Amino acid sequence: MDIRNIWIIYLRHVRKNRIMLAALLIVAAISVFLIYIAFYEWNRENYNVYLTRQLLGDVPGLYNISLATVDADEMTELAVEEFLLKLPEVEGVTASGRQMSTRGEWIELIENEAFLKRNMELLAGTIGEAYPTLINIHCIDKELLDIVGLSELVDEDVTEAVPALAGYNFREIFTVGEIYTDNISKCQYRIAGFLPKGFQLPSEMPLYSELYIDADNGMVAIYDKRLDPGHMQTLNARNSMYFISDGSDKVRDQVYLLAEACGLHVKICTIEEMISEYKDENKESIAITFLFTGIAVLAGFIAIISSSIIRILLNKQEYGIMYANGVSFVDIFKMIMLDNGVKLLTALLAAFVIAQLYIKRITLTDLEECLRMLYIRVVPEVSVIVLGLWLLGTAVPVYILSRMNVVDLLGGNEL
Amino acid sequence: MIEINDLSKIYEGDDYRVAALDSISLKIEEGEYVAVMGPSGSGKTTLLNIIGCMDSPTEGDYFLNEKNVSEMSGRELTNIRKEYVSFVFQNFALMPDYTAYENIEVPLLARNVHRKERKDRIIKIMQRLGIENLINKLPSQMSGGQQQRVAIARALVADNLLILADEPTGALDQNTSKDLMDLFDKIHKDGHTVIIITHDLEVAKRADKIIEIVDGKITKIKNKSTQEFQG
Repeated sequence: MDIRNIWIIYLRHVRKNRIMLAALLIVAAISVFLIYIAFYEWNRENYNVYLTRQLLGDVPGLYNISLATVDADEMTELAVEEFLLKLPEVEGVTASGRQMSTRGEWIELIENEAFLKRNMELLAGTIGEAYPTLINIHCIDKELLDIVGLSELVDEDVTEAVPALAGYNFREIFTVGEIYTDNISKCQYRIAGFLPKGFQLPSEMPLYSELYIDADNGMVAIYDKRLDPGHMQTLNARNSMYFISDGSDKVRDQVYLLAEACGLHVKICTIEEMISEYKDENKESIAITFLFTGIAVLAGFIAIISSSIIRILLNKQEYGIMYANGVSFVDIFKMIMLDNGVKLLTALLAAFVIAQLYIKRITLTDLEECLRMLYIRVVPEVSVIVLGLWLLGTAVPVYILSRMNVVDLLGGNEL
Repeated sequence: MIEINDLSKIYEGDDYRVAALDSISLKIEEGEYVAVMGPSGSGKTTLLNIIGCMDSPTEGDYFLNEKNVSEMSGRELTNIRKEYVSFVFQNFALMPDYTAYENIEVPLLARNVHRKERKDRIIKIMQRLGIENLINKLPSQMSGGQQQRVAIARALVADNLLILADEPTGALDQNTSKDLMDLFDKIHKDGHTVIIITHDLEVAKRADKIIEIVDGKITKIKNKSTQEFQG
């Protein structure tokens, strides 16, 4: 039987079983959606680690100093400011800028005479030196400028000869048009513009999911970007990169003492330590996500198989009638494949659409929005699992059918 | 057309062995009208299933148009059924959710007949059997006689040589049965080979040949033309 005729018989089957088909589609779509989200989260976490390592991993002497407070009152705010202002005076710690900026202004982009830095070039592994408050970028990829939304501020590509700088913490206040001299490189830059509020460079993302616990002092501070905006506004978190010139424990101890003097708790770690901690924190959540995904896959598989088996058992006589009228076993096999294929393909498309809406809802930064490749990159992985479900979900009922002969199927019509 | 030699169908288990058919031999010529009679459990339906290539014999040979069907695989049997055999069942065996048109269409879909030709053939056969008013009706909306006519239409639409009917009037009243048997007479006159299982002697008498089966063995073969009995 050719595929058109198989399709005709399939549509007649759908006409008869609309409700069951709808229920199955919902179950299958939920299963596939959970699979999609699990793989997306896993890829995103790996991507964050990759970006952080690319941006900052090779810079010797670079440390992350983080502190976080929850529902900070005015006194705490002042303490934080005092600490950060005093920090550059600690021996060996180099930091640029003396003024504090507000949370809303904390991503700024600086342009030198003709070029602008672009962060995605860092993905290619080309990175300049990381300064305490800035990242110096040597190369630029125009296409990636579009992705991160910097095109409007960029005229030409950044090159080795003409680097650009990006500020990624909020310790500086800048004005458009102002000439800025970087304290480290001594290069002059003209401030070209600002990215929208909330725009974060990739290096920030893993830093801001840090969990800081101080058991001795009983203070627990958590920065979780999934908190609602209302709560986030009362949360003060600071992450600053500081270049500790000799990298010795002496400087680290000084910083700790300074923080204590201000009544604050800080954590200092190397970039690799920071990445390692981030990965450890996420291992558990990823494992739980995949556990739920495994359950979802199992549920989807059971739903598909059981619906096919029930269909065969309830419609034995119809299959027998088809056999008696010249329909072959291969044709029936194609019908079952088509039935399961349509269900799973519809579920895959529905899950993809739902996943886009879900991911959009949990995406808090413009850069995460820009990671559209991740949405697409995950599709092949999910499709392989769905294909496996399709094949297994077809094999079992087909095997059951193959064990019955025409006489068994026709049942009450003879003997 | 049909030649069966020492054919047996045996069902075996750990502690039982039942011969549904026991070394039967018979010949049916093309265009013959044959009735198969016998008590319940005698093997009539088993014989029909084997002739219709829905089942395979355990021993012996079955030749259909000189092809040895008894050694064919499942796929080959399907092709043989498609080419030569159509069925009419006692309980009509209509798809309950298909209209009359869609039920009759099934054999043509299996044979990849083009849509326009399918439509022409179905309408023609429905008109011939006087059931063109049932095109969009479901089986639940038809009487027994109408359903059986739809089943016969389905059997005829594929234009196969061999029509096998298992108690086609078993679920019908007398008047409807008579009308239906008149129809089978016409089908036979059109050149089809018809084999009917029946308990009804009045139905059997219309056939050219009556085969009597008891306990899996052929006990009598009566030819209408010669009035001979063969044991």
